[in-house]
Amino acid sequence: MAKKNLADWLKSAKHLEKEITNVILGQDNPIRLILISIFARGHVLLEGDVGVGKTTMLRAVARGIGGGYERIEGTIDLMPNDLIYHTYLGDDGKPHVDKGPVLRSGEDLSIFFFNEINRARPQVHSLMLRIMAEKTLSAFNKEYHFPHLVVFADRNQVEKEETFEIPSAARDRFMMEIPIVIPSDDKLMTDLIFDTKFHNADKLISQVEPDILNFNELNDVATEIQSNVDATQELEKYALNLWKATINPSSFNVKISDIDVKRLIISGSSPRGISMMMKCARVNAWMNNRSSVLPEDIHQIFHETIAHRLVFNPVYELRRTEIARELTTEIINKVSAH
Amino acid sequence: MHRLVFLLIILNVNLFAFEDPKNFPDLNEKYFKLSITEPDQKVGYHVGDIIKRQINLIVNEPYSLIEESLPIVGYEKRYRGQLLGITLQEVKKTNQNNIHKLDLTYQIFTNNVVAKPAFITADYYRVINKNKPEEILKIRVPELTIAVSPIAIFGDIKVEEDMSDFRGPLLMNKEKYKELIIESILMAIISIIFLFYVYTRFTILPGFKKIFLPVYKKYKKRSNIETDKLIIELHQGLNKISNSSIFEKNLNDLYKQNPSFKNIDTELKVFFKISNNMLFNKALKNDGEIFSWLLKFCFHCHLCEKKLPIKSADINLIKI
Repeated sequence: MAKKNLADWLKSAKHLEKEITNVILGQDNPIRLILISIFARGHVLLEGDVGVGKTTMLRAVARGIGGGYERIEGTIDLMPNDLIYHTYLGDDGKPHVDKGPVLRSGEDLSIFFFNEINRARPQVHSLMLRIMAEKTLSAFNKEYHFPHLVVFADRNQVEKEETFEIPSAARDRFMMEIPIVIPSDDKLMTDLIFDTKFHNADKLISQVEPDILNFNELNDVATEIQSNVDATQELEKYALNLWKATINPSSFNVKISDIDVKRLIISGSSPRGISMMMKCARVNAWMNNRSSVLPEDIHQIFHETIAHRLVFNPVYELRRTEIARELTTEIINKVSAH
Repeated sequence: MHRLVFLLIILNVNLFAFEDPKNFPDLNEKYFKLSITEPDQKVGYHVGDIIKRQINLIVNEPYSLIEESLPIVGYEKRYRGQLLGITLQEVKKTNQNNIHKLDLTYQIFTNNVVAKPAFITADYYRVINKNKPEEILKIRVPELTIAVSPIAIFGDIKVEEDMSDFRGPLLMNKEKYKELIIESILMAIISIIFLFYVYTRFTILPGFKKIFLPVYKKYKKRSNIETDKLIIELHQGLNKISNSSIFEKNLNDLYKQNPSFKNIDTELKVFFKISNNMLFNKALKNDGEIFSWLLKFCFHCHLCEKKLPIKSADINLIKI
């Protein structure tokens, strides 16, 4: 693919970003991060309270990139086969088997949204993780492929009862964990209350221009972006130091108030994690119309690509969200890029 | 009768004790030698000033000095019945056979505010003939006239003979004032050096060079252009000041540590642009123009580090 094509793709990406920001208020950064993950071909965990617009946002993205969009709600009695098929008695009085949400769109499945993934049992997680990692599924004596699939999962961080926390190995499969928070700007908040166009999600999503990106070309574009955006030796050194800092933050003089940093980390970022970070940084550089990665490109995605992979000492696990934010900020502040 | 004689003798002795020393006849000059070392200063005395007088007296045989006739500490001099305001504070006596040395220290307590002569009145030391004890004679120690005022007293003292560059009429002890002058000069020199350090552009004291000035001097002397190394050292300097890794987005961390850097906000942004293009984009190459701009920027960082003002005219931007 020639460079010109990449430039065209960039225009399309910017166009999609604009379309989504027009209908989803005050979520510019999460929207940018979701687009980065789509062009980096990585799965995403969404973190946020209920009703902040996660589903609407994903539906808007799915409409923009085309392909199949499926979703399932995580519940305690959800079983793996619920993802693959469901049975019912037909009008003819006979039992019927229909494809479940994962198989329904076939190879065209582009976005699969797993709502409240932590309400589902670990056996459901393991099936989902296999689909995420291998993009294949064996069912009905057949191997199904999902080459264009990107999984978005949401986990409810507030309620802890009847939930199954996603283990660290599973979290590591996600490229990013993106926090979705309520916008703090008064004007935006007022618009969300009184502007009636935001009250009807279906109508709102229909305003997004469909198929701006061709979902079945995204894999090629992603490869092209990765090979066209350079990283200098200085940047490689910087990324390496950032990785080391996630493993042993105290060696970089990272300090967090009221936390014994030496005891905080049980396991830092995995090699997969740091390579995903660099993938996202490259896409971010491309989206900023650059052909080389800058430290600022890493900063923009560092927390979202690294924080959820860190395994904390159980003493600090309950305060994960707050500590992880402080830790990643402090690592960026303490690790020198030059 | 004996009692009466005894009483008369006692009375005679007491009367002798209260007799005015001036009434005794003078000792012939061939029997004694008197020399007096007077103070240099004759005028400009004030309350509390000390006057020292040394009297050397040699009394020849058959006479000897009656020590009781010597002046005693605490004696206040009077003239015509009035206190002169000069008190004898200390007497140091050194006697060696017939050689007597007296160091007399007087202190002035007069509070006269007008020009007025003051003097230590003449003293009369008595001597006794060892062979003829009834023969008691006197030696007159002449008076010392001084002026308890900066103004000369007509007739008695010639001020023009007592003038000095260091001791004007109002100055009593030149040493004290000399020391004060030297101390003041030293303090002034130290203050000037300190102010010069604080308010000038160049650090002149050793060990106070801080971060950016050594970088500036190091690269200014070099003939070859090493833009990338200079950029790295500038970054390290900024990181050191803010105690964190500084990027364009967290420049506020730098401003919190040292608000002077706000003055070169625009230059800092250009610097980050150059840095990114040089180190991460490789879009720039070693360039003399950029190098000299970076040197100027480094000097501006040094001024900010020292919290010195930078004229807006000095802020120089470069197109990247």
